[in-house]
Amino acid sequence: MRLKDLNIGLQLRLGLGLILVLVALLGALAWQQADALWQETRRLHEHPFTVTRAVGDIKASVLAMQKGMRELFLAETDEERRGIIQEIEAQATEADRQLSVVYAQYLGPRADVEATARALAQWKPLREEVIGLLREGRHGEAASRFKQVRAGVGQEILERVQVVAEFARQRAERFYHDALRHKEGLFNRLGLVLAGIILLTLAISYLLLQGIRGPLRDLTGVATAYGQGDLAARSGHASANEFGELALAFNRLLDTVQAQSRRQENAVRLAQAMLGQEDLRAFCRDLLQALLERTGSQAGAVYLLGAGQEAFEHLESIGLGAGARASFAPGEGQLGQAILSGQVQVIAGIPEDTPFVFATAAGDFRPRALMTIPIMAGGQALAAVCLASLKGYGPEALELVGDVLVAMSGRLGGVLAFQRISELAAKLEEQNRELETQQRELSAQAAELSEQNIELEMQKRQLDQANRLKSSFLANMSHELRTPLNSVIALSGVLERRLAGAIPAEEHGYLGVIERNGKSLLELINNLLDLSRIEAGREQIRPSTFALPELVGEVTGLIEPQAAEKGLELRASLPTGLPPLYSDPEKCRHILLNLLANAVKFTDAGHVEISAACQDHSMRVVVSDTGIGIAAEHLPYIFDEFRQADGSASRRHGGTGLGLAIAKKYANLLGGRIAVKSQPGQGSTFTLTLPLSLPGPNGGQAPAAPGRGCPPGGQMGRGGLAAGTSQQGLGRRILVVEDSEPAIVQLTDILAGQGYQVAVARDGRQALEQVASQKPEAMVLDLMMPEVDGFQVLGAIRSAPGTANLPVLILTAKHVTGEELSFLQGNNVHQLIQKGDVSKNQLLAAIAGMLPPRPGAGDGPDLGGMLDR
Amino acid sequence: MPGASQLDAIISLMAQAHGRDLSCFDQAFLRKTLRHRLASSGSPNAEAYAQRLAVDPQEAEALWRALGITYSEFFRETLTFALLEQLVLPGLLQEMAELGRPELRLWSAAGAAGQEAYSLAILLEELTAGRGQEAAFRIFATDICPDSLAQGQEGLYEAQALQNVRLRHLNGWFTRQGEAYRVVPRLRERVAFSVHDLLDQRLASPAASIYGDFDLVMCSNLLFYYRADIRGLILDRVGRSLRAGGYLVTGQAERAMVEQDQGLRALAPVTAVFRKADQQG
Ligand SMILES: C[S@@+](CC[C@H](N)C(=O)[O-])C[C@H]1O[C@@H](n2cnc3c(N)ncnc32)[C@H](O)[C@@H]1O
Repeated sequence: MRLKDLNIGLQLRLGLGLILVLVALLGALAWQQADALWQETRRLHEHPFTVTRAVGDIKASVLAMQKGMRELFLAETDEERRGIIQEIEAQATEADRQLSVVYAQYLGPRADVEATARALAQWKPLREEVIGLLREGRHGEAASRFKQVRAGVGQEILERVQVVAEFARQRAERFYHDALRHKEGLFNRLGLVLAGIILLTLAISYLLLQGIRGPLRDLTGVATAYGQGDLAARSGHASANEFGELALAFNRLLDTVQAQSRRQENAVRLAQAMLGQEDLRAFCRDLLQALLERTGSQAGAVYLLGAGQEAFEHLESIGLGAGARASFAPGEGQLGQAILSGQVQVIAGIPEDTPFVFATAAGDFRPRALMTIPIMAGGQALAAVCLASLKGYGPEALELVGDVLVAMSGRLGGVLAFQRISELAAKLEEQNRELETQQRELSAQAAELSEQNIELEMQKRQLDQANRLKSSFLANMSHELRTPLNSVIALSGVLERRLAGAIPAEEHGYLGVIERNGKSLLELINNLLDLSRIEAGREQIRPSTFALPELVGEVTGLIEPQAAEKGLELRASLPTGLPPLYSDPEKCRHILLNLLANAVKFTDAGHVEISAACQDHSMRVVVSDTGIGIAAEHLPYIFDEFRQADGSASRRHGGTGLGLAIAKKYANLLGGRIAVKSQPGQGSTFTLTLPLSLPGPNGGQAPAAPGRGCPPGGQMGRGGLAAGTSQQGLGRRILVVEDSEPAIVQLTDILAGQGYQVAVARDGRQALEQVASQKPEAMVLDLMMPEVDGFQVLGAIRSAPGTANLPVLILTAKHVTGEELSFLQGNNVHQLIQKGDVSKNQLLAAIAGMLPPRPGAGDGPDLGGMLDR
Repeated sequence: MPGASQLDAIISLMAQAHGRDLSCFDQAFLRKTLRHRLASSGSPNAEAYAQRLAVDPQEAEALWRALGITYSEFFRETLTFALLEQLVLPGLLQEMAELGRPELRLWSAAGAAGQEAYSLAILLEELTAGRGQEAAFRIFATDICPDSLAQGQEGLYEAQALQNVRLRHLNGWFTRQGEAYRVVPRLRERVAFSVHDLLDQRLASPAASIYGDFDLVMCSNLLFYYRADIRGLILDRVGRSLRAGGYLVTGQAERAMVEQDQGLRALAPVTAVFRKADQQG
């Protein structure tokens, strides 16, 4: 572990502790040295000094005893002598005590001390001798003895003492020098230790300082740099201690601040991008661009909840394939569900078949993650932004989106509202302009109208009047009207019979007139009642099976007298073998009666003919006359009620003019129709066409229709001259090649209606199969089909031996190019027909025209008959 | 307002620079639209606008779009639809039964987003209701505006387009979706949408219908946008697509334009419903 990594507290504690230890060491050292000095001093004091002092004392005692001896000589009284002797004794004791001190302390040779002791000990008997001499009064002797002793022993003691003293002095000298040396060593050592401690302390504080100041300076530098805009500035300090932590925390703080400010900046940029556009599309594009840039996405799309609120529709996208343009319902698929949640979501684990692929020149890539951002309004997702990333999304992307979500929702809502308002304004404007244009037309018409108005009013008054008349007239046609009329007729009949021969013939004839007019009046009333019944929808159909010739016979029998009366020939030419009819015989009778009566009525000379023929599933009954005919301008109204060709004719020929109207209405009721052709002055031809079998009310055919369709031999003349559009393709096999369902239905409808056997192929491949398997007699071919198209089909057919000559009619919506046209021509197509540029009859004629003659029929289809218009 | 020469200049400019032919439009309509574009684009006068048009394809597009008015409503002209409901359609149905024709064929030419076609479908559905079997009619709705057709196919309309729809119809034939209404799928199936340009000289009927032969064609609120001679051409072609005895229905405002047509006869003096002469009576 490096020192740098040490805890700062530990560092400080360690440093200070070290210094403390050093100081203690220093103290101990000083203590120990002082103690050594003290020992030295005590030795100095205890030995040489004590010895010297004791030697001095011994000397002093010796000198004092010598002085006492001398005084003893001078003493006159015993008293004095005793005193002095005592003194001398005391001094001697003292000298002995001192000697023992010297003995204890003296460091020099023991012999020195012992010599001194011996000298002292020698001196004592000598002294007592002197003292005894003195006491005996022998002064002289005493004096000489004294002189002797003094010179001998006294001197020796002093000398001996001197030796000891000298030694002690020398010893003291040596001790002093020792101490001096000692002191110097001590000073040196102390100095050294002190210097060491100072250096160490300096080093420690340097190190400590360094450990604190370095990171501090580093951090300060970073803070300053960051403050001055260097956002990448980070502390490079790394250690395991508090500063390391501080640096880390500081860096983390900077990171957070920087991330924060980057986020803020991103949010601001995004907000700017969002503010730039008012147009929805442009806005979404800018928004996407900005979002992609700032969230690290590579592609994205905006979806808008459609007006029906059931699907999100693609509005704008960047970088995505066509799959992302598909709409999806809320809750549908991964996207739909994520949006339904109402939360910003990141979806990872994008499945293989996601529509969300990046479309790039190098191919499609699947994203790693998607982010879905629902734009909510009123608790509902109005729109959704989806972003896709190849790398996935980090938390910053989510945070950024979270930051701008409210602004984004608000803004998008605003733009949407703006868009709606502009659309509304545009629509209003459009409506206005159309209204204005309409207005202009209308006011032009209004001018015209005011002219017409008078005329119209006149018309209206007349119409009203007529209507009123008609309704009151009808109202009165009741049974009450018929009852008296019936009795008039019946009674005039009775009278006519009874009075025959009883009254003059002329008057008898009047009775006949009364009866006839009564009958025609009754007929009129009945007709009117019929008509109103039909109009009221109350007419009932009572079908049954009957033979037409019988009915015709019945009707001609009824009309015959009228015809004969006018001198007209009434012919009926009915082929044998006509199939029975299943229809309402009463209504049929009515129709035929009306047609014949009408013909007789308007024919003054010549004949009236009724003929019948069967055609496939219908019966045609033709009533022709050689009468006055009908002018072209009246033809359209000939079947209207209360109309006859013109007023004058009506007046001349009598009748109510209701007959034809009723006939037509009945014919229609029976599922048939009546057509008229006429040349004024040459007569008219009314053709009644009735289905052989009355279509049942529930669409089914009636039960009793044996042998529906005409027996082969029963056809009239040459196969229906005016057959027009019906049944020309009986049983012929046509293959329709077409891929559009409505077109198929329409074509099969009209072709089947003509009796063709229609097979359908819905694409080129099917067409080829069916051509091979079913061998159709002709083919209607569309050109535009998926996969194998019409051209290919045609090519394949023409190159196969069996079908090289199969008639083909091209029916297409395609605008063929010159090249295609020459291909078609080269492949022998019967005709090229543009859909929409042909009438129904033209189309049918063309189809009929391409069919080869029916095997065995001998002659080709009668085109003239088919193009009847 | 742009003068005649300026109008001509703009027409030839649009043709040359942008390939758009404005010459077929009615002059008054063209003027009005130009005036509107002039105001919206912020051009001070017609000359400035013409200059801008020459260089700004976007403005040219905007002008072109403004000329293609696609406004429409359900049951737009009440009188006309009443007539259709009471008279024309029942008559056609009856005639169909009488003549044994397999189905009624109707065409809403220039029917915008199908409002007209769906209105017809509603009426026919109701007229044939209760007959047990599927009502036999086929309605083609065409327009030149693909967006409108797409909307029609989707069958989604704003409430405003439905102001003339009776409550009963609204309940029966629409479902509400937020602010909008959607035509029920059953009705949507009855109408076939396709693009068809009425100015296309090749085709009298929409290609989808193959051979026309219509019992009824509605071509309303379109004629008056075009020049008189163009109107004649359109009417001519539409007339050809009708079967004999078929009906042509135009807008009330266009009544006078059709009245001059020889082959068509007004059903009643004030209506815009005409009938093609029926040679067979
Ligand atoms: C004002 S809208 C009328 C819609 C509807 N017929 C009605 O009356 O409510 C006119 C429609 O005619 C269409 N249109 C204009 N010129 C056309 C053309 N040459 N061929 C087909 N449609 C056209 C427009 O796209 C528009 O949808």
